Amino acid sequence: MLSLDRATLRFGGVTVLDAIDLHVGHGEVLGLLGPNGSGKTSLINVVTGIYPLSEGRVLIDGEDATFLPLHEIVARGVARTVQATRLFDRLTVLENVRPAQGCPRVAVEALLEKVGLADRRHAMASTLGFADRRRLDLARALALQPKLLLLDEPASALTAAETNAMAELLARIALPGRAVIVVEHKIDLIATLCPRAAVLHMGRKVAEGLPAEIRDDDFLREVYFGDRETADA
Amino acid sequence: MDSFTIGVVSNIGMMSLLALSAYLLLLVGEVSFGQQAFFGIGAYAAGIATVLWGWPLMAALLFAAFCGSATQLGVALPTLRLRGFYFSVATLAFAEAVRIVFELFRYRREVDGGLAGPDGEHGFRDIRYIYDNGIGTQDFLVLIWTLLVLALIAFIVLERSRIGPRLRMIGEDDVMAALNGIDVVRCKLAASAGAGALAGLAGGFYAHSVTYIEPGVFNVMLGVHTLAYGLIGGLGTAFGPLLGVLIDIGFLESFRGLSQYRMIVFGGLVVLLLILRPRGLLDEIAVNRLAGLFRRAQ
Repeated sequence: MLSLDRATLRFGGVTVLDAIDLHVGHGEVLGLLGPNGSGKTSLINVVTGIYPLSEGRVLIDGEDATFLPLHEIVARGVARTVQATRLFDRLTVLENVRPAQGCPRVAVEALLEKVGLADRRHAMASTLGFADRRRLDLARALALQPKLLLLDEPASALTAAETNAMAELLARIALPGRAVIVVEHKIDLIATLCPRAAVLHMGRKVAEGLPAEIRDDDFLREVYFGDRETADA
Repeated sequence: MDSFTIGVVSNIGMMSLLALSAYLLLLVGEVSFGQQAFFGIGAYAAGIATVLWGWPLMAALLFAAFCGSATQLGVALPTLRLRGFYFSVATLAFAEAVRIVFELFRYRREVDGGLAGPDGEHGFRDIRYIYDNGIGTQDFLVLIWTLLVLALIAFIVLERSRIGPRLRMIGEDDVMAALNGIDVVRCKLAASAGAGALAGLAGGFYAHSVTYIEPGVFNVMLGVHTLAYGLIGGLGTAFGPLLGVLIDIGFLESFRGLSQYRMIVFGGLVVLLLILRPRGLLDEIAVNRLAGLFRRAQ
């Protein structure tokens, strides 16, 4: 579904992504771990066309999508959520989801029902609490009926209870039947959702394997997640 | 209806069409100070079509809309790469250039034993189609408002479809709009073409309503008013610009006691609203509340 072939991104003299090779197959769920500034969100921005690659290629279903405009990448079945939940605050909940191409009104309503926002469909997005904004962002991305879904820290700034609810929601409606990359700091969430994970550090992929292996690797835990308390937070 | 009332209501109709053109661009986040240029192009085009070419009025109005649309599309292609302030300055500069072109533009032909047509800085006189063809000012008023109502219906249909939220998404965050699969450039070009058509149509009406147009009419103040109508009335619905026009022309200009203070009150109103309600009286929140009341009433 998605292949990164020596994907390299530079801003001036700073190398943000350094020759990343990554493959996510159809229906596969990959966790992407790493400390702040490791390049996780930049990688998602590269795949979705926000940042053009300096070197290397992005392949979607085997076709080169490296320099496609953003909307054409979406048309090839890629959707994402945004870490800072950039919703359209001047639109209602329904209007945030409804413009998706090929998603009829009844499907949009069903989607809002699934994420628990059906009762608030006519509320302005600006009036939603943080957890609801995350769920609306997810519904907006799912309405695009993606083959590849990129989740950028879906549990960021959520409480423990909200994180559990989000994990349950993702497992129920977001992950089945599509390729997914979950970018997250919380390794326990990755371990719950993803059979496989990769670790980025300073723009390089430094590990790839089972989340449990990564979590139990003393070197990775200390260098990339700090101590166990931080890792499990 | 007396002639003063007919004049005011006609003016409200024409300015509403012009205000809708600026509103359409504001929906996609573009602040144009240059809609008066396309209004002027429509006025000259329609006048030339009826006076010099002998076209019927409806064909001339369509031609005005086409000229406005084609020109705005031509301007949009290079300027849509510019963002925010730079786009506004570019539209303003273009409008001033068009005004100067009007001052230089001479296209005179003999009509009914005399010379007619645009005469540079002296303007374009005797655009008398409606008077020469027995169309009363009241009939013309009905025609203006019929097309305004049709335009409003088109906006309502647009806003209730997927297209409306798509345009508003572009206006709010064009990167996120593109991440929703929206072709931002194509939508902005379509909005520009529509905005130019509305401004051109309004200009065509204007030329035939006043019978005399001169380059000075299409100045920057007209552009500021056009933009301000949406900002006063509100950007939450197409009725917002209409409300802005009603406040300015219907209220401030029409009451004799207020007319001499019109610009002071109008300017003050714009400043006040930009501080208190930056997206106007009928902004998205107000429209959402009204829609909620309507749903509950149903």
